[in-house]
Amino acid sequence: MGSGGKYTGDGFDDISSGYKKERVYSLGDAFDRKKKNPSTTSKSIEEEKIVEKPGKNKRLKRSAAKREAEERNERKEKKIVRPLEEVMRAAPEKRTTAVASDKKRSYYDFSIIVIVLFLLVAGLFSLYSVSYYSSAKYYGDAMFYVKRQAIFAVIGFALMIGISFVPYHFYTASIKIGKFGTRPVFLFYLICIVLEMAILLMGIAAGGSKRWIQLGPIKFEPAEINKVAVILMTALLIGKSARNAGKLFEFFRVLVFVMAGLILPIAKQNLSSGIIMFAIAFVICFVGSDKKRWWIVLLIIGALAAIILVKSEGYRGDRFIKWFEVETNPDSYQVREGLYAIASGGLFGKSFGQGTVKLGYLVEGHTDEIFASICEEIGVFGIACLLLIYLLLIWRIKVIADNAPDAEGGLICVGVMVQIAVQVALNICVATSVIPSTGVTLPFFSYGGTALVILLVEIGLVLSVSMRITE
Amino acid sequence: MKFSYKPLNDKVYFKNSMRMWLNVVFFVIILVYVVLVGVVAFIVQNKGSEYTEKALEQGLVSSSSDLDYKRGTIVDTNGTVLAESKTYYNLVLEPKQMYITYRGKVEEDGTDNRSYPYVENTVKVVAKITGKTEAEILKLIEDNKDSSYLVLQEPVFNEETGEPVMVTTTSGKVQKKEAVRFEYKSKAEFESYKLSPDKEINGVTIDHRYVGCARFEEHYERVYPNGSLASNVLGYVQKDGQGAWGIEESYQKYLEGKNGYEYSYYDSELNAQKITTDAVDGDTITSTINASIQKIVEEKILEFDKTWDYDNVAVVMMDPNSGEIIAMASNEGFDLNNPQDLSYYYSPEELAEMTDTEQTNALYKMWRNYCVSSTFEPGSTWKLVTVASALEENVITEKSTFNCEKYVNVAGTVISCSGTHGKQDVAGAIAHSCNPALIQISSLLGGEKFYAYQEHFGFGRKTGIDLPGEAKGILMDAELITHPVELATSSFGQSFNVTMVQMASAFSSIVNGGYYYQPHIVKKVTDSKGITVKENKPVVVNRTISETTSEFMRRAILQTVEAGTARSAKIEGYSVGGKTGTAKRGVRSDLIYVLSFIGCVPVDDPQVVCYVVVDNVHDEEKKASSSLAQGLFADILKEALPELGVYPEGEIDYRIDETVIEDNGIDESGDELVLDADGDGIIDGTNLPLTSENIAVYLDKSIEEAQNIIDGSNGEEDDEDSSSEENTDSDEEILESDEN
Repeated sequence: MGSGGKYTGDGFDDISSGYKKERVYSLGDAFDRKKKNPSTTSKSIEEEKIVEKPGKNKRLKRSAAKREAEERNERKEKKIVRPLEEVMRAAPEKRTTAVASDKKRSYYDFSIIVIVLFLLVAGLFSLYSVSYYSSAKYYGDAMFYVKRQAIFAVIGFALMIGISFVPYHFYTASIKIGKFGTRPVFLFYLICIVLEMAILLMGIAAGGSKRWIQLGPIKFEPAEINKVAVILMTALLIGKSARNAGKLFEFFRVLVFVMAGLILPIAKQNLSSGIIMFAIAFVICFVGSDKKRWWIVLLIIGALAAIILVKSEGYRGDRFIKWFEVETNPDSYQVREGLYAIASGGLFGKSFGQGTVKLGYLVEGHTDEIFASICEEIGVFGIACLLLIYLLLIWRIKVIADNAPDAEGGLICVGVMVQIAVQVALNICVATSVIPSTGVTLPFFSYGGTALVILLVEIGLVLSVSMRITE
Repeated sequence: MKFSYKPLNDKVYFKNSMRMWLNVVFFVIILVYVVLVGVVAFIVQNKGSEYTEKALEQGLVSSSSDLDYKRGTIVDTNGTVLAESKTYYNLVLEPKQMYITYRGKVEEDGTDNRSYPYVENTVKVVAKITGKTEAEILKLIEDNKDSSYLVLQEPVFNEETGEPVMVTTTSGKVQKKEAVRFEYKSKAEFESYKLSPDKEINGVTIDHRYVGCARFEEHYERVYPNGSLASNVLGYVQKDGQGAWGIEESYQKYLEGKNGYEYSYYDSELNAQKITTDAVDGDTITSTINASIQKIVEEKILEFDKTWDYDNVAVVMMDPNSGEIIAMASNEGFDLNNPQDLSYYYSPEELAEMTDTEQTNALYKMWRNYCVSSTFEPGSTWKLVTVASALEENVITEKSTFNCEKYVNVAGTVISCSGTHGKQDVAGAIAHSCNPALIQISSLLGGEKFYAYQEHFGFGRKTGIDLPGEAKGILMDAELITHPVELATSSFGQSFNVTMVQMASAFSSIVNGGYYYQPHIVKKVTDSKGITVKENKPVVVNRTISETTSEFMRRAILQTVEAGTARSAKIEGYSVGGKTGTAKRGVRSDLIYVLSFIGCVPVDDPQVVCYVVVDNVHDEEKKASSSLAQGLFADILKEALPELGVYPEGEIDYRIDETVIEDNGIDESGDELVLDADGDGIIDGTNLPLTSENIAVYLDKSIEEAQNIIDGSNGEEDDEDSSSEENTDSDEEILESDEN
């Protein structure tokens, strides 16, 4: 540690093109910077006092010193304001110059694009295989679902590529429009609050709860959009304030803005989405903070809230009963059919298109219960391969997070990673009756436009972070 | 309007501690995924069959048993059916589907005004077809409202006591039930109710639109119309559809077809949807067996069975000009329609006392085909092979003569003959079945050539007949057989083992001009459309001997029957050629004889070869008398020949060689004298000291002659190795001689 950091002294340069480190994995930069910028403020000394207590060993002292150095630099870079156009332009320009000079070559993770393309294509094929019967029956077109899903896949893919070129700092930077100054993420946050209200007033019910909103010709799920808001907001709140890492103040900010503002209203209608969003927020907070104690409290609060939510709605309690009696209860029909499908798939499955459970038995065979339909056709072996591909994607996102130029970018990646991982795990748990039935889609496979587009948008965010990585 | 942008005011890095915790999160994810794959595997492993069954029950029919294939038929050479699969039907009801369609509704005050047209109409039709009352059927359907796969069953009652048969299941003892079997006409009747609108039952018009949610499921049952006929040849079919023993086993891949599939399901609007893949039926096997001949053979064996007590009797009948087996039977047949039934051989008390292992062994003994799976010492029938080999090698000619003085001393071992035949030619030696002559012939041939000819005639390896469980037989080692005593005993068919099929095939080649045909039992295989899939044409696998030798051999065996040891095998009006055999096995004090006869008709141009083996007759007088085998041979052929289109050709005595007829040295029991090598051994188990007096008394000779015998045996320093006989069934120092 401690060698190799070269600091240009230009804070903006840091942000737009990454700082000029020789090695990505190093805290040495911060340490070096201390020497170059020896000025300290009284506030930092106060910080040190809090951190450093008598009797701590040398190692703690060193980490305190390091933190101090980091914070000093952070403070130094305040109050730099640049025109928006310049910011938007900055990234590509810097990139080309970097390539030209062969010193600042930025990174773009093509492997993620390959994995995503594979999953999209595999998802469309599977969707065709498990939905041709019901689409032909209800819409007179065996490709009905596949066509619609393909359109969303194309839109989502285009959005993903587009967003990957927008520097992710744009969302959290404060932008002045005339006299008013705000951050885009706050506007996004407000939109989410409005949608949450709208769903209470004009939501369309499906499966026992209101989840959909119809805006003209477009029908969508605000819960999916909220997931993006949760990722961006939590990453902003935690990523920008490592100074207060794990403090009570941060805990309350997360509790009020994220938990109360974004998650609770959704969770009331749609507990599974609430749980996923909570998991995203929790893992971002937990990973992003030095002290974990308040996040443990947050976890307990979340668990209590979940229990209250289960008790408050009658149909959720029923689901538990159905879960316990999955083999006998007539209402556990769907899950039971799913289990039959999984069991009859065997080790290698019945091969593509040969599954029978979708033939009128599994009503949600193309959406939430798609896992069972796929399992019947590809077997245990195929499922293991599929999970391996998901893990590959998750691993790539993790690598980007590890190398992210700053905490905010890293934590955005953590949020996306957690969302994919949790959705896959929950979906399989429901299909195998490990947990009670709840509506969770299988990323890239389940039929559903909003979910797919949002998922690809999030991958776009990850790619955007990967682009800020320079060698 | 002016846009301005305020980037991050603090620079916070993604710190190492964050990476560390991110790694923890990542590994937790991996762990969870691995556990999930485990959960899926667990469901497949532990619940697979249970859930698949349940899926079947609810109306999703994708079972392989749903559209059974029809196993191929086995017919005999004339097209008579030996084994076939018969169709029967099970009635499958679908109560769940019957209750989905209803008229009327449940009133608000709770009264149920619904009526179910499927239930009303179908129950009437089913009751009429099955002969049950409507109430019974209605109760059955109401009790199983949730089932989509309800097979109509009836309790099973014990045939003798009339008591219900109980079986133990997971839910305790319940009465055993079996699916009711229906004929095709029941199915047809049901279909007619579905199709024609105006049918009435008990004055009530049936609405044909609502006759449904019930169907007749097709199944097959293996039926053997002739009971136990050719049971050892045919074999039976196990419950899993695999053939066991016989043609059913060896032609399994042709006989079995491919199951069809039927996915039938009801979509949410209750339209019955069906996807059907037809089953592929098995191929038809045409056997070379002639059922009527087989029947004659088995009847004669049964008659023989009533007269005599013995261990085994087996008969192989073969066409020498193609290798086709015409009939193959032993006394150990079984009821093909009930292959597990031992009651023919054991009383119920005996069966009750038997352990499971004993029962299994008894079943195996009953199922195995003696003619291909059992080996034995051929005895004197082998002499034909020895002579044919020697003629073929030109070590003897047809005119060679050999002297027989009843005893011959081979390297210190005295071997006796059935009589004192004096000077005789080759044909005479065969006709008298003279051991000393054969010993001389084999010593001229030499051990190496003798062994080579054994292999040349197909012994010591499988013939490749298309039946399972064929034995190879056991030949004496090529080195051992060069020893004079081994060669001597081998020359008349002792000290090595053969199977009946090997012997019949070799004999066929000796009499048909030297063409060794591959023995086979299946003529051809045709598929369900009548196209020939496989044809077993006669294949000459070897040229054994020349036409001249064969011609001489035919003459010699004709003399054997007409004037030699095989006179009991004569059949009025036919020229029969054949050779007897009386092989010994077992210890000296408890000798067991394998009686046999192999012969062909007509001898000039053999059309049929028949080989009869009788093992261990439990009769002191007749136990060494091959006339039993000859008699059976004659009995069978007398009836079988006209069936085969071989008719009497008239008087044939004119060809008999006078010199042979003169000799009357036929002594069926045959004396034996066995001395051990050092000259003070025992005589024929009597434990007498070996003195010239004892020998003289025993053999009815003068003292001088007896002394000569002793001198002869002592005179040669024997190099006999008593272990040399280990290859044989015998534990005697020497054994030989025989018969007729």
